Amino acid sequence: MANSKNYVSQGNDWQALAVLAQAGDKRAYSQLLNELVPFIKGRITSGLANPDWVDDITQDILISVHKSLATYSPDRPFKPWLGSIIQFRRTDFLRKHYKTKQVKESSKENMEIFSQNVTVSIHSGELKDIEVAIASLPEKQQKIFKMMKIEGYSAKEVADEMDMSVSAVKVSAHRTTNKLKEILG
Amino acid sequence: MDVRVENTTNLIDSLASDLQQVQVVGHPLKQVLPWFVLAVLYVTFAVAVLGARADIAERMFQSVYLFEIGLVLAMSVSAAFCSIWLCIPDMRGQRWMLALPVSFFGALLVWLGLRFGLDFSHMPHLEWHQCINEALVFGVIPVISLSYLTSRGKTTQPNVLSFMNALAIGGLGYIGLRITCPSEDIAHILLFHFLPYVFIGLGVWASGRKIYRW
Repeated sequence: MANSKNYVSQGNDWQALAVLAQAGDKRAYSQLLNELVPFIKGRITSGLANPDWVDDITQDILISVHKSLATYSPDRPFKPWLGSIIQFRRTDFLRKHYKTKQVKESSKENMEIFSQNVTVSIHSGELKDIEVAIASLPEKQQKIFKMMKIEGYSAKEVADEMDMSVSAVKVSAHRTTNKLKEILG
Repeated sequence: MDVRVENTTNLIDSLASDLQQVQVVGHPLKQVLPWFVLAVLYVTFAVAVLGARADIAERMFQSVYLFEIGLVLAMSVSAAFCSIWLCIPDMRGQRWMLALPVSFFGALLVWLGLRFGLDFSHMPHLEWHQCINEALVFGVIPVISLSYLTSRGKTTQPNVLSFMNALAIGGLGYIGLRITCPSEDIAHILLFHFLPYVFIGLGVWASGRKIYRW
């Protein structure tokens, strides 16, 4: 009984925080996102083959919450809305992961693909080539990633150069990092 | 602090610092109505250009013809409405609505199946018939406009959304063809009116995952 009361109370609190966030209240939004993290982790952990994925999926979900904040209706409970996003991102992550894995496994067996994708012969035993991995990304993502992570520009400088918001640049860099992790295994 | 925890904390800080006031997405009815009016006007315009069938006045008094048109119209309207609801992650609790277009579509399949069983006489000659061109004409603007409209949403069910788009567009185009083409031969209707929209629907479905990524 006490647990169900807490559950309802938590949902109502998040509903109130989400409404404040929609009105542009950054503190309320930060509090909301921080409170969501353990809840999201609790929802996605069970059944995942690799516990390292929990943080990646959680971050994807937080980005999705940010992008779709305008679709939350203040007169509706918060948790079903969040639950749909959690379920969608979890499935999406696993689908992408296993798709990439299949490609990787087939390339290990195919010497032609292997020789085309390992550019530095000294690393030919590893099947890991970061240059090829970066080159396989969309041009815009490549540029943001290289400027931030290789050339050392700040997110603000990259945002000015790319005519994007600072947050969008950070999100792009974060996603690129995750994608490279996926590609390089 | 663990690097991954630190990443999450940084991400939250970054998202919060970038927050701006957002306009809550309005009622889906307000969004679907302009599209539906535009699509109906377009189909009406296309019918006017292509020309209605000679016996249209007579057909308008036949209950069987009107039933079929009404059924397809109900499917198209409800599917378009569902498409817009699907642009919201949880459909604001209106998931039950998906049953409407699916039921109408099921009824249409049963209806066409019955007609095929009772009326089928001969297989038409397989060719690139004029009706296929007209099916493309009726479908092109509604498919582009609805795909664009829904691509701005945040769906968590891209496949279902693509299916609803296909029903909405296919339904309108099918009605257009039933108004312009004089044939009542069920094999012709299935082959040259229904089948093109099956292929258009497959195209919409195949592109759905790319269109609805967010």
